[in-house]
Amino acid sequence: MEGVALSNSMISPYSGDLFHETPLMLRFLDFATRAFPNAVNYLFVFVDMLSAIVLMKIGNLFARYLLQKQVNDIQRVSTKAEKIIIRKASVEDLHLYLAAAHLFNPYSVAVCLGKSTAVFNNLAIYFSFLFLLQGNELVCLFSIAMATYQSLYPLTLLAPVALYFYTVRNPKKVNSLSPDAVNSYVRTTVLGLLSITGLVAISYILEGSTKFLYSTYGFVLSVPDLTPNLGVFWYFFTEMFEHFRTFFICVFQIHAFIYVVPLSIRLRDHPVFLMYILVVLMSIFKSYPSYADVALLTSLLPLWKHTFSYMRNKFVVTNMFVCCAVFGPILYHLWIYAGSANANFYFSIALAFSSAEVFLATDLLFAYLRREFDLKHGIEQKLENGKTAQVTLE
Amino acid sequence: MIFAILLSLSTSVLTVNTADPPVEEFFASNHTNNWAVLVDASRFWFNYRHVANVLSIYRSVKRLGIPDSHIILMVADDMACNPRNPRPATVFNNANQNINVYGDDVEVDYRGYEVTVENFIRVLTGRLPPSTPRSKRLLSDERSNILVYMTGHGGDGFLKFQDSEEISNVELADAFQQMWQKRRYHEIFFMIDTCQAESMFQKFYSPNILAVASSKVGEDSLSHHVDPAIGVYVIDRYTYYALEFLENVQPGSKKTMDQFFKVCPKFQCQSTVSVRTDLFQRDPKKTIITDFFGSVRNVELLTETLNLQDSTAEFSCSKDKCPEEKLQKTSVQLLSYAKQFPMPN
Amino acid sequence: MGLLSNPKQRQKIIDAVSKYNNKLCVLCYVVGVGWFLALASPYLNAQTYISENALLPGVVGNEFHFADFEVDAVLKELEGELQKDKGKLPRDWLYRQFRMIGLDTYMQNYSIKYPLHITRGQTVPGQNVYAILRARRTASTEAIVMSTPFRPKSSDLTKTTGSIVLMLGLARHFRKQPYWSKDIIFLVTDHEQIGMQAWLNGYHLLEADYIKPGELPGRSGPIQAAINLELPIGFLKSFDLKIQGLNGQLPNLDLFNLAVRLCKKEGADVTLHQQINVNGNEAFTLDGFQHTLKTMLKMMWSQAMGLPTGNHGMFHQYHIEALTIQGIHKKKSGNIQLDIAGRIVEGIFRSLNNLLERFHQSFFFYILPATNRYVSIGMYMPPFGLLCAPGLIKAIALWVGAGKETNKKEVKGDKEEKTESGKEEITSETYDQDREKKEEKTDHQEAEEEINSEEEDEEETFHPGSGILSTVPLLFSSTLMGLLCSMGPDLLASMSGSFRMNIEDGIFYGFLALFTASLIFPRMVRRKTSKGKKLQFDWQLLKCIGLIFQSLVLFSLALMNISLAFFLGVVIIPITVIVHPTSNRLLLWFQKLLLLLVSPAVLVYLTAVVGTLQEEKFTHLTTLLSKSWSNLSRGLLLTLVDRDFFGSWMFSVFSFSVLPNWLIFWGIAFCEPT
Repeated sequence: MEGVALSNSMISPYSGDLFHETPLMLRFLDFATRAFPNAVNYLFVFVDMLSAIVLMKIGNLFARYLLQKQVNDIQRVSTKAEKIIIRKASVEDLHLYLAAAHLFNPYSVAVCLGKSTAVFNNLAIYFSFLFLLQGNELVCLFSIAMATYQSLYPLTLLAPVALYFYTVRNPKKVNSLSPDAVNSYVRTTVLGLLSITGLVAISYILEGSTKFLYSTYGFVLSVPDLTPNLGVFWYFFTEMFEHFRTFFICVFQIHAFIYVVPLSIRLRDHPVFLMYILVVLMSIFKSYPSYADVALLTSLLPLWKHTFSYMRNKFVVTNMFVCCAVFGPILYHLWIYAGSANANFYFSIALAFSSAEVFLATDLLFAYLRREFDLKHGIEQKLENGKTAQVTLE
Repeated sequence: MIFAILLSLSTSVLTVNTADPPVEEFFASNHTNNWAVLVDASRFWFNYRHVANVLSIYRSVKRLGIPDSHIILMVADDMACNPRNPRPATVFNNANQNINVYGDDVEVDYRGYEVTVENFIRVLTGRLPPSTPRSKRLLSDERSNILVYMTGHGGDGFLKFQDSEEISNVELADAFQQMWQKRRYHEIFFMIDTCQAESMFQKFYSPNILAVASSKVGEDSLSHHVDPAIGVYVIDRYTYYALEFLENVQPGSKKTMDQFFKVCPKFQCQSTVSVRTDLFQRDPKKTIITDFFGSVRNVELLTETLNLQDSTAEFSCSKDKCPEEKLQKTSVQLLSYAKQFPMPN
Repeated sequence: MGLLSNPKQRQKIIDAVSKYNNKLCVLCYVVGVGWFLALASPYLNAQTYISENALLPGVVGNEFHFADFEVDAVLKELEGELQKDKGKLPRDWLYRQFRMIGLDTYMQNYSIKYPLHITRGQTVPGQNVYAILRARRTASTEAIVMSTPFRPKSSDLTKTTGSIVLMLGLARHFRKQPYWSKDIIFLVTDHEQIGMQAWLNGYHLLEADYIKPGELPGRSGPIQAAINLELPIGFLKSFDLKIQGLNGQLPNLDLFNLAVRLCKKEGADVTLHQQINVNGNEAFTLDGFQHTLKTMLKMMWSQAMGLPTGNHGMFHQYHIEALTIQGIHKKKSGNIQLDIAGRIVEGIFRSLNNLLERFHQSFFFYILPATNRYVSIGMYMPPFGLLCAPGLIKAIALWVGAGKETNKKEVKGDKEEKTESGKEEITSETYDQDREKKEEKTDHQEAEEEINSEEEDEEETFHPGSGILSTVPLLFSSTLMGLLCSMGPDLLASMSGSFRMNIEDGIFYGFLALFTASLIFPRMVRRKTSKGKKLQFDWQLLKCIGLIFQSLVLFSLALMNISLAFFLGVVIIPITVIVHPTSNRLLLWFQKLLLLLVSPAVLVYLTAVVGTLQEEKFTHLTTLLSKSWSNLSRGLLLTLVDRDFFGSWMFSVFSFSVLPNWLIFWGIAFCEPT
């Protein structure tokens, strides 16, 4: 919004330290505020509703995808695993869950009320899920490109998309590392990168200078703004000696991207799940995480409803989320407004929140893998001595 | 070894028959000029006493003959003009307010935010930018005796500067070593009044340094008394008693450093004054206090005749077992050695 | 992580918790309460000290005396002015006095519009007089405030004529001093806290709905600290320091210590809630402990009320440290003259003058058992945690128990039913959350509680099973009650006019009706559920949710107002942990009785009883009860007015968290045992 005002008064919004949106977004918002001067609030509500509709579609498609996948893998499934097989009935109202989780999610409501432009970013990610499941490669890649163009981190989503479209193209795939497969990966990645470059190029043409690159992506990567937020970056970097800063920024940013590789290898058969896990990781390791990212991951959470029964820490994780949601604002209030608590109080909550997200991710990962294991080997595992075996996460 | 060569180099030095006591005393110190670096490292109104400390020492050394041009005075805050000062433009070191140590002729070389660790080390080592005026430089040479006085808030191994940075004892020791290598001093008397002050000189390793500190490691140095009219502590204990001693020192005085070290016993200071003499070549008992605190030229008229012999050549040869030309060569080499450092001017 | 991923160790802990949970709960509760009360003992608390170097308390010699100021003459003049116009502030006289001293003197006009149609839309005017002493040698970047409320002759509170005279004397004295580095604002306010709020709003350029502050003609820098004086004229016995501000906020402990230190320096007795300190050694005896415990509980009680004990209380919300010095008047035994008070204030101001930055050292969260001892947040949180632990332990035990049962069910149950229930669940949830969304829009201030309860609902989506659906109506209706309760007053007030009822009574009886309605709500819910006549729901799950919600509320409160959290916790926790449905009729009635005892309405009434008991001594129980009954209705109205005037959140806390939470447990008591 400030950016619109700045550009209206003929100042390049990128020369200051206030505005970090991308040029296309700026144009779009500018257009929106001009076209409907009184209806900007409704724009956000509209985007929110659109997200809900997209989520419902995702739900339907995903249910079909799950059943399809189950049919494909039927040979590998153990006969004893009958109970955990997904029935049609149990997934057919998945779209309702998704929509409810989005619309009545306190986080997404807060984001919408706060009129954060992150809703557009979230929408782009929802679209990429949607078109992924529809199998529309080009549009999917374009959605990812949009999201990446907005906030850089969704770049990692290219990996699951590449995996997915390879499996779509060769349903009878043998080896995910064959030259054919690599070829397909490269093709997808190049297409994705091309569309991102295209967007950046358009912005360059519109803007006429490369200044925006620094104040958008440079801002994300070098973390100059240490205003307290949900993440852990701000605290570390306010405490840190200036000369170590570059090193630690590299370490922190690598975190956001490094997990793509091992996870892609392990979850190569489950690209959609991989994509979700990457979304969660993104919101943990982002340099400026916000409620919007939490909204994103909680809205998509019901997709994995069938694995919930395998989650072991749901009580702990849920409580952590609840506590953080309540204590976070209170401590922030005490620190900033009442002045009686200090930054450490708030940071401890931000840290707890991040660990809750980590727990959620690991727990979900565990639950998913555990379910796969059970599908292969059947539910009841008996050891030789007749006791029920317990699967441990090593 | 270096010391021996230095001795041999200096042309004016004459070795004297050790059996001749007045002459020994006359040449005991071997210095030709005196410098003082006086540092108050802390700011804020409630640290009034540190400013008073350093200004009192400044006043004493000036009274004993070190000119302003040879004193580098670093004061981190301007107490005299603090709005909280009920008596503007004055600083007193005593509740009786008989001496305004912020008199008419105080020349502060580094003030306010100029008092930083960097500037302090640069002053000591002479690595100042070329544009620095002479009055802000320590233009000492290998014949200079330097008094370094520091006060502020310290801890084990550091002294805080300005609430934002600190100088560590290792840094300080290295700075002195650099000074020694660059032949910027002859002898240093290091005096520090801060908490755990002893730790600041424990890491010294350069020769000819005599050091005294107001407290041992683990002890606090305490303030002396309050001036209820100003509403602050006006001076620290150690400095207070040291000043009391210095007030009785006249330019021709024969008081020794050893006497000075006995100032402020535990019952007065409530902290243990600690001294380090192992780096110092002379006997503190025979070192007179004005070697550091004053600029006293020993010009004495004697009635008896003294036999002075030019023993330079003899001395160096006896040490190095060398012929005359070799000595010449060494001196040339050493001169070029000196030139490779960027000496001021 | 080891704990979370190693199933064997986990199982052990879970087993231990579910096996010993009852004993653990009792142990935690008893130890928690005992420990907390024991904090009053000098063995467990700490000596106060000043942690801000810059203050240099008491170092300066205090010079103030009334020598060149004819106290009696000024006093006589003031008395004369007061006689002239009863019930009004002699503003013009004060204005002239400050002008004569040579200060920048201004007046602020403001108007008060009472909420709830109390004054039928009319506004009440008010005026504050203030004078600014500009620091001579600095820019006006910071300021300290000396304030005194003006009380007309008719007021039954401590007279403040002494402090007005003293303020004039001090202003005259301060004016001559060259050493000020901060501006000093002398402020005389009208209408007690309302005037103060109006002045502060005006100073910080804030607009409020009910108090319309007029523009301030003169202003200084950010206010660093404030001292409020309430001194009567004549000889004083001691000084009482009042610290509790709005919503139980406290000033920085350094400021309090400073005031105590200076009073001691001038040889004046200083008290906290009129409780003098016990002597050094006596503190370690049992008698001493009882005394300090009494002081501590008094202090906590007053903090728990969330009402400011003086005008200083308004400063806290603007991040300004402030306290009130009240002079305790005794006709014969007093030996403190006004100029001693003057010297104390002078000393405090000179120390504040030395401040370099805002108070930030020392503590903001503390409890005081004596003026020279303190209990910091680090000391009181562990016992408080223990006190709250039973709720959490029980919740975990219930969860584990419920988990086991559902596991069993899942193995047996068939799929069809499961999906059906899932469907229903989601629709009802949609409804539930839809309603909450509306709530959020209506009342943004309560967003926290909203998120909270929505989170509760979200929790349900996380796990499958049949139990959740059944708890929803109960959760829904209890939150609805909370909403009604918070909206109620405005509705009732607008209605009571047409009934020709007193507004106070209207609101009071309205609340009574609301509460009675909420008592029978389990029956209403029962009627809604078509299956049979009995309430059927997974009470274990409901209790688990309720307990977690309760712990969350208590801990959140503990961060803002430890005393309130403590008193609430002590009363509520044992009963809520015990409550469970039973078929034993006697036990059931006993439970219901207990629950009624800790219901918000009864709690509020008990508070009123204790409040009246503190004010006066009653010989007869019935008079006490009836007096507190009338106090209750007045107190209720005042709490509501406070909410609108000052932003006190006491009422909101009760209506949005305490009441719904209690209703959950009330519902459990009506539940059919499984």
